[in-house]
Amino acid sequence: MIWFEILAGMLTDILYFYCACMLVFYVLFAIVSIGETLRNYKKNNSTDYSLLATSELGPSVSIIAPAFNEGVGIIDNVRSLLSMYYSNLEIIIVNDGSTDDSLQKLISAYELRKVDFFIEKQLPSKHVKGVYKSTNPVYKKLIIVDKVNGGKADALNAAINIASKDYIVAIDVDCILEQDALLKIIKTLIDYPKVRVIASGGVVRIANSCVVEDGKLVKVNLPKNYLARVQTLEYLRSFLLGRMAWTRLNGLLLISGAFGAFDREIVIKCGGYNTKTVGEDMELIVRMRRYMVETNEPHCVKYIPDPLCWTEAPSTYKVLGRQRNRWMRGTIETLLAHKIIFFNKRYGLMGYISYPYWFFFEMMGPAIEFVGFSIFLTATILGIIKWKFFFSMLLFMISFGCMYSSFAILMEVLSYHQYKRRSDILKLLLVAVTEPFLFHPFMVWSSIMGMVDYLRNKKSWGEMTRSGFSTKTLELKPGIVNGDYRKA
Amino acid sequence: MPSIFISYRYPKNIFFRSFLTLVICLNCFFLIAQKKQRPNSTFPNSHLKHIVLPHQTFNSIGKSYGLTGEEIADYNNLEYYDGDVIPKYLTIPLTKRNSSIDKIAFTNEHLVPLFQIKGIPGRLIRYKKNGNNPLIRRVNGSPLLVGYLHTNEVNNEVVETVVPAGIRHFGQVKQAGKKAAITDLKPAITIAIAVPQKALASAVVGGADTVSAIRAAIVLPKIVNSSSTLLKEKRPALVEIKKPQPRPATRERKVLFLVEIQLAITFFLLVIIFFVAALRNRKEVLHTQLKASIRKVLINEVLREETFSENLNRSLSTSDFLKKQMAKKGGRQFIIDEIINGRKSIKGKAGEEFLKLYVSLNMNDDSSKKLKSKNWNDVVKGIQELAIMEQNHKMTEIFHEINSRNELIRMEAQCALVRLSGFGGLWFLNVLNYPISEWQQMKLLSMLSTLPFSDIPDLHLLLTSPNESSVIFTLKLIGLFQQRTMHGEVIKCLANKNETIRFFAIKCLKEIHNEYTVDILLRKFATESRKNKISIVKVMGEIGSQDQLDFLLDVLSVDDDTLKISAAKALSKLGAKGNYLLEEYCGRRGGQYSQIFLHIKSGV
Repeated sequence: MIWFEILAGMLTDILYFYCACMLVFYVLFAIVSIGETLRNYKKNNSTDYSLLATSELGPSVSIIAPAFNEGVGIIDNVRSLLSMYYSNLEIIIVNDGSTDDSLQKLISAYELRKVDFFIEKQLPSKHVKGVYKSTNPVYKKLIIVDKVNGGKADALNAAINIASKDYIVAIDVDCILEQDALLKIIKTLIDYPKVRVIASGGVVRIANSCVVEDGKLVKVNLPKNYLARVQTLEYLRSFLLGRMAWTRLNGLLLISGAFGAFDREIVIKCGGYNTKTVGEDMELIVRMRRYMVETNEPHCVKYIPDPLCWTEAPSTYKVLGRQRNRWMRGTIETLLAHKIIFFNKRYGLMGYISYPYWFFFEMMGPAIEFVGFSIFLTATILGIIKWKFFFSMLLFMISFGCMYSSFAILMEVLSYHQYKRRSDILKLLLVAVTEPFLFHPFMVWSSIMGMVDYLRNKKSWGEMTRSGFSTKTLELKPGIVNGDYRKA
Repeated sequence: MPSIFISYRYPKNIFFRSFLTLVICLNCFFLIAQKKQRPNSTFPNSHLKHIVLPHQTFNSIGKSYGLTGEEIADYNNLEYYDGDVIPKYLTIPLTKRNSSIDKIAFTNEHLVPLFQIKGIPGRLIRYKKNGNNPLIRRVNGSPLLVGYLHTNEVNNEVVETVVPAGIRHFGQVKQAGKKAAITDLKPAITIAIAVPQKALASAVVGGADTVSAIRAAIVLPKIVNSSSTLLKEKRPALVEIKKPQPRPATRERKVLFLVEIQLAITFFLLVIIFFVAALRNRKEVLHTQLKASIRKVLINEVLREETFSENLNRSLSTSDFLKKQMAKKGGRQFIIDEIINGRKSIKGKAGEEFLKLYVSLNMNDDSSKKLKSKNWNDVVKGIQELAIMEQNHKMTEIFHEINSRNELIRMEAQCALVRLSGFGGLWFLNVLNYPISEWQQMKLLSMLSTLPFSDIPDLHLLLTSPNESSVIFTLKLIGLFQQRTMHGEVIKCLANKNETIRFFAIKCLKEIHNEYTVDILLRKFATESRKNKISIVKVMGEIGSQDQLDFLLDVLSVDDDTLKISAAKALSKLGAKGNYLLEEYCGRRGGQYSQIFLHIKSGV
């Protein structure tokens, strides 16, 4: 039975090696992100973004926002978009076959009329029933598209077909944007002379418990709900450390679906959003990158550490589980659709580092963690591994998590310092300690369920129920959206 | 929490069940594998007692007995560590890996025969009926050979071998009480083990102890007869395990050490977090106070009279709070920022007063010092301040940064030169080694667009620059300031290999066109990229005449929606005839063309 022993030894070694690699990646993320985050922060201090807003020489931008049954807040959300100050701008809202009164509300609020519009079929999308424009010149930037329901990706493709500007900015209509969010994200696209920036994104923050006034965020609070609070910490880690490090390495494979800017020409050339995946935004970035590599064009995808967009995070285990389940399915679909990249020297860093990282740690991670931990626990219970060793390893992982989270908080405090109260920082640290017991196991479980659902060929998004923001002037009631793909 | 897991029910889900089965199987596999990994003793509890020599480690001892160091440590209920073994004796398990019945050795392996020695009370191993038990064989009458120890080193010191009775050793000896069983040996037989070198060990076959053991004393062949004496001398006063000093580094301790490091780092980070947070909060409060104080003084003085700089200077010097802050680096910087903001937002004579104030408070020295800073952020800030406050005498120093390796310093220096010298500052383009980003081009053009453009320098050379971004910037500049004298040079750019340069040349020609432009563009159309074709068609709508109607109608028939809609828009811009032809053509073709016509007609 020598082979048996060798195999067991090999598997144990692989598990140890896997853990070690993961920790090394995290440490590298932390180290690499420091320079990039602080550099961006300092750069911001000496940049006059208002120039971009007022100059006619700036690039032209189409904001595209799909909306499905967003009737409750759509008027305010569109008003918030219209208030954005940018000279060469159009705003395209796609009513993706809503069953509520979203369209009627928009028509009456913005004095819309149906116009004859020739739609260039550059990207596949479902039938567009009508295009509306306002008769009021105040809203001349606004275009409303009414189409048959086809999902988020389909709605975005329809909007791109109608868009006429050089860059497109895809947003979730229920998100709250910072006043200068558009300027910062567009500046990122035109700030690199040596390479073509094909997409850019910024930090998405959790808006639960924040105070919203007239569609604008007026006071930042740490979420009162535990789950939302953990996600705040998770987003900090993900955006300030992970994404910034990948940006530095030019290996970013994901721009948040909540708020991202893209080069329209490249989006069209590579076929637009994929309607057959629930991970359409990651899939689009991977496809755009592939296209650029295959056409030998130097390119990059950029992320900036500025908090640009605020969104409401799921505050119940049920909704959160559905979200993570969908994220996992999206990841699997994207990675399998582009498996040619895997250790393919043609794709350089993307083939050797980014894709394998996503494959081994983002996609396989939850399953490996579950299997590894269960073996570890069983072996300990049966006395094969000493309890002392089990607990010391557990303590090691928890203390590493705390250290990593603390580092993310430090980066936040050093750069944008959104949570100013000492109690907020303490609460975040407490969350870092409890997360491995109360949040992480559920995340692993939801991701495994996502894998299972992928194998069952489940394609649905799952309902995302929202509870609304704390507002002074408007009351948002619970609504259902089909947005919010992978904000973290 | 449990309710959450309950919400995930997949009672009929084959994948889910398969996954769980896989997990369980893997668990079982590991359990079995882990058990198998333990020393596979064919004689549970049978072992040698090894005398530990100086500088021997678990690994070195294990290696010499065909075992791992961890196995040895585990067998002795000790924690494995890398250093010298502290106990005097170690028990070495007899396994299939380090002992055998047959005299078969691998390369570099030494076989140490095990003999029974008479005289030690214990149990008797009875042979099987066929008398062919290889475990205990009579070699030349006496003593009895019981098997062979396989060792890599000949100088292992072994005190004794303990082989409990009643164990299926090598599959030959049956348990006591059963058929062909082991019975008590009275008197006990001792066996001697011959080892090639000095008298290292002794073995006794016996069975008087609690485990009914067979003990084998190991001695050199030449001193076999004195084995009993030797045994008495060497017989362990059984193993005394001293507390290791210092404490050896075990696996757990190593992990816990890392935990300690991580916790220490976390604590350190926490201290920094709270320190930085407190500092930033304090800074914010201070800045709010400062802002209020400065604005109060500024508003009072600016409103009172036009030449307020002297009064303002006096006010700043008399206010204790402001005076105190002026002496501090942070406070002083904040006041500089406020003065610069004042200069940027207030034009005319009042704005000039801010300049005077800036100089009278020696803030220009602060800005100049920043130019020498090693921190790029300070250099950028210094250049920005000096440029806004029109410190022209610093131009030479700023110019040195034109080709700085830091792109932010470089960009700020370019802007500063343009701000300080207007169009004259553009001569940096001739010596620029780096490309200019689109953002930078926009900044420069925005700054230039506020200046009178009578003194635009000669741009001929720039259009032939190897720096492509410089060429694009120049084309934008020519277009923006409608430098018609550059028409011929721009036309040459249409032959450039770079598609983007050609694109901007087409756009530029729209602004500086003459009677030849349209024909030149039409000639270029066939060979251009799709993007540039669309651009040419759009330009035709702006600068074309009725002579281009046929061309646009041709474009309208191509199989490209973007080109079609661009051509239709261009036709609609070329007067009544263009509109008529468009309507007539679209009506004739119908379908998609009707939609195009309606789109154009609706003026979207």
